Amino acid sequence: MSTQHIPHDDQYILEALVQHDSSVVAAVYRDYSDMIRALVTENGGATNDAGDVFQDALIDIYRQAQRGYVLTCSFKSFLYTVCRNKWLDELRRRGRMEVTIKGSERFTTEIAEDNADRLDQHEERLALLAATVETMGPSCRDILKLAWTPHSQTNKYPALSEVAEQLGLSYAYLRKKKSECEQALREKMKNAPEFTQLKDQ
Amino acid sequence: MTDTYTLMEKYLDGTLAGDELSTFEAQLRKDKILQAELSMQRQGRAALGAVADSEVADFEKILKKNSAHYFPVESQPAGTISKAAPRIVWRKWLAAAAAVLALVFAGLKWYATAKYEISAILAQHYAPAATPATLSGETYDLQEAYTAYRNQKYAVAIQAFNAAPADDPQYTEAMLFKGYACYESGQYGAALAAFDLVIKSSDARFLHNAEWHRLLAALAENPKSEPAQAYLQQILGDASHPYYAEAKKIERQLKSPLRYLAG
Repeated sequence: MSTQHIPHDDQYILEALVQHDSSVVAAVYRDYSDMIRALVTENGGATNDAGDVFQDALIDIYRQAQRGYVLTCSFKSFLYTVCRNKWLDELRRRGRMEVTIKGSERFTTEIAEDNADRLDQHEERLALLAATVETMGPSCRDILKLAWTPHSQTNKYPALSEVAEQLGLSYAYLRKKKSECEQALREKMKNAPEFTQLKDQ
Repeated sequence: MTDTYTLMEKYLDGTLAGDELSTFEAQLRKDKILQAELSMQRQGRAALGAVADSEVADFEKILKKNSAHYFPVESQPAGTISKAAPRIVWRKWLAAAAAVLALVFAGLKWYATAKYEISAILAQHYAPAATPATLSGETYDLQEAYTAYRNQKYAVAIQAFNAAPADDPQYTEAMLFKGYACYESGQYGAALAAFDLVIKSSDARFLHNAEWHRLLAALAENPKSEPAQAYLQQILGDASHPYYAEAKKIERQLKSPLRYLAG
């Protein structure tokens, strides 16, 4: 969402992971464990390795989903691509010279590759977002910073109604203004030179 | 009826429950604009605030349960003798044990820091009065100072609270809120002095609250200092004190071995 992304229908899976929905986690294992086991065991690994890769991939996805990552391809292709990249890294780490994966074209797509790249770059995008907020006009900067910064004592985020009260604005006006500020933020980020260094989506 | 934005805020804070939660989740599943909006808020909070990694451990537990089922540890075929030297097995066990120990220690360290570091303890117990009992008076008006305080403009607020004449009926309350403003801006010595003034006034309306926050300010300055311990014992010595139970809890927390781990 550093630029406007249209979430894929499978975005709900990421949301369910964030919510620790154990039935969705179980369904992810049920539906995709065979695919990942084959990926790893057909490429020099054991079932245990497949389990580790699967779990690491889900943790990475979970962490970034917590931070607002938006999925724009099917979860299946995405998970496969993230796991494939992890297994390639592991093979390199183990000193394997041969680091091509057999049969990967069956599941991965260009858009899934982009999503996997974006997952790796998500933290950098958040840093860019924080930096861009600082460059905004004072009213937008104040609104976004107040809305997105937890109270130092309670560590809780303020409700928008509290922000409105704090800024002496009506709730309805603040909602509209905040939405405009978010749109302006996206535009600014898209035009930031640092953004072009991150893989475009 | 609660608007969608407010529901989203509650959802993000984890305070949405019951029918409201299921209705919101159903809407979220099909509404891509809402999904995108939710992601924007998550990103903003992650970028400017923080996202606790504490929940990762809980999530991992769910994964491990499934992993054991779908990726079972490969067993040795019957009748075969493992070519893997026992030393390697031991090495694996040792590595696993070390990893578990490291994980347990890291978990404990995180928990101790999150709950037992002095600032974390104080944050759990800090409970300022929400608003002054009266905001406007004949000679002095608390409103301006209070507004500055609410807006976290502490320097302005402290100056405005100081302007309260000592004989004004609102003086004691101005000092109480000055104490909060000093405390929240990290000026613990000044907070102590302000709470002392409230206590000396013997105004029963604010006495206990001021005693409690004087204790917190003293602990913030130095949890081991004599005044801090004396203030704590003073409250613990009076079972009818409204903050007695809180004081017991803080005493337990201060004596907890996890405090040493918190650093």
